[in-house]
Amino acid sequence: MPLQLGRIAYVLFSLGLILLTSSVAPASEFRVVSDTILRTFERDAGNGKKLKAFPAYEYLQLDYGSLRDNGLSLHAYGWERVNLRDNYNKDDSEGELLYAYLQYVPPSRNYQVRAGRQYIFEGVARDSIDGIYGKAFLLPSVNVAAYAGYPTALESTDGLSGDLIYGGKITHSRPDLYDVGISYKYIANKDSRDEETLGSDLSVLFPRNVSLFGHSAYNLVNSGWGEHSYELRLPRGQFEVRPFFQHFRYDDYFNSRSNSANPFRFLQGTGNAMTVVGTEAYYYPAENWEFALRIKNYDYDKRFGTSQFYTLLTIWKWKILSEVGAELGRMQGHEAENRYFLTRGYVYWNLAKGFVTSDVMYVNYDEAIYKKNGALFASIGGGSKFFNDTLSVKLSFDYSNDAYFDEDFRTMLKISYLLDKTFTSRPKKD
Amino acid sequence: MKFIRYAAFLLVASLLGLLLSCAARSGYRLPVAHPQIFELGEKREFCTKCHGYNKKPIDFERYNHTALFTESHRLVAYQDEGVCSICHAQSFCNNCHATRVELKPSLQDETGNYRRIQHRGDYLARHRIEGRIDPSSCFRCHGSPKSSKTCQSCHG
Repeated sequence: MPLQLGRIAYVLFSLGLILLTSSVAPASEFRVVSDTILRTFERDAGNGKKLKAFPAYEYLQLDYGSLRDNGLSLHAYGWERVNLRDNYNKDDSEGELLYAYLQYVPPSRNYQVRAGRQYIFEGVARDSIDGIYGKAFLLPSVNVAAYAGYPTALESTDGLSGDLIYGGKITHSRPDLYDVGISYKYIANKDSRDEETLGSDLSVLFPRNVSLFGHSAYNLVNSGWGEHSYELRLPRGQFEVRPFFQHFRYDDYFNSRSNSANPFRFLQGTGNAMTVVGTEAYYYPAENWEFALRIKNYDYDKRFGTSQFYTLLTIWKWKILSEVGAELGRMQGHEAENRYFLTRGYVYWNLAKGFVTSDVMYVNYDEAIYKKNGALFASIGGGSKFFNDTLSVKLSFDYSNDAYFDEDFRTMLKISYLLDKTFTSRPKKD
Repeated sequence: MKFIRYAAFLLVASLLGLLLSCAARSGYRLPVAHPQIFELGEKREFCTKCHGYNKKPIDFERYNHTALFTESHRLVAYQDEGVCSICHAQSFCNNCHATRVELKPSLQDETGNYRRIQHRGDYLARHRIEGRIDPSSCFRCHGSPKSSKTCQSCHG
């Protein structure tokens, strides 16, 4: 759906508000980040014909006000897509205002308030809201965050009438010892309770630099634990091992109400539970070498037998941002249809005025998907920056041959523009 | 009634927090933004390179962007999103965590091969396997009516 007039009015109102109040800030900054993406590819129409697609995307970010220090600021970001001279998704355009909010941080930085559309990351909340958010330090080691508003994800389910999201988090922190947080979230759609979750976050620092991180979520609607995720970090010189444990009870983790979505709704009634045990391991033999390993074992109460996943990654850097990487992966599902080998190699070479990069990936399935035993993806690209790095142009060519795309070629051009201006309201000294 | 009780509790807690914050003058406060450093650029960075391994005022070691960080950052991000937002605007996180995005993250930054961004290559085919093995990882980003629009053409 294209951006609505109401949303544009909302942004203009906010912009006007901040312009009126800009005299409060000694120095206001105006920043525009624009990413224009042009893609070309072909799609099989099913009757032997190929449809040419030429979608153009614009991702636009606006920031105004006190952006690097305390004070008042406005932030907005959204995207829009139109189809240019193509016969694929004809007359179709899409877009979304992802956020548009005013933020205020006082000189003491003891609290922060935001109003408008924004994304909330607080414990069990990973949600976009149209509303208010505040975070305050009660004591040097205790902070409280709270938010309330409309859940924007429910916009498409009978409008926003009767919809509500609110919640918060209280955290006690001792930077060299622990962080303990308790969070809460409530979501209603048409006055009906869709989700109510209580969560805990934990980090503990033990002697010898060993640390523990954890997150648990309790579904208050069903009265059951939905998730436990815990990870231990054991660094030892050039090595680090990170064993982890995760447990998900599908009936309490997933949701079949209106704030959920179809691919996941049926999982709630399955009574299944999944336990993932594994580890990540890192080895840094030199500053320019990285080795990473991840092993996972998936175990289920119902359906499927155990499965394993292995990934090994090696990276060699020869400049600040020039590197070569190679990856091997294996998904060892209980059934043949859930098994594959993955190999990937890439290079990224940073040059004085730009870069070149390439990526090749080959995946081999133990059981063919749509009669394809494997998938090949290859990409080559490059880019350059102009006008003191304010303009960057990136071009890439992709090739895919897999279960969904047969001999598929795609082109993508990305033009990024950065405008960054600072306005000083204080008179300059002679 | 339970709803009113919770709402009242949160309202009071927030107001109390805002009021008391005026008194809480001591203690470290995160800066609004990381100072501009040319070398930071776009690359995956280890915070300890500059900040070292001291645990006060922030344990920067936990935020080191390892080779697998894209997939395993959530537990540290849950502790305090404020640390992430010093360097990353919400737009950066919205590449994946958003109400509605159409281009998959690996397409938005197609030439960022060093970032090991999710859904690269044949992922449309491979997601059949990974979705069966671990649907919880799909649900985090595609679990709402709007964020699942990309799923709906096949899954209904």
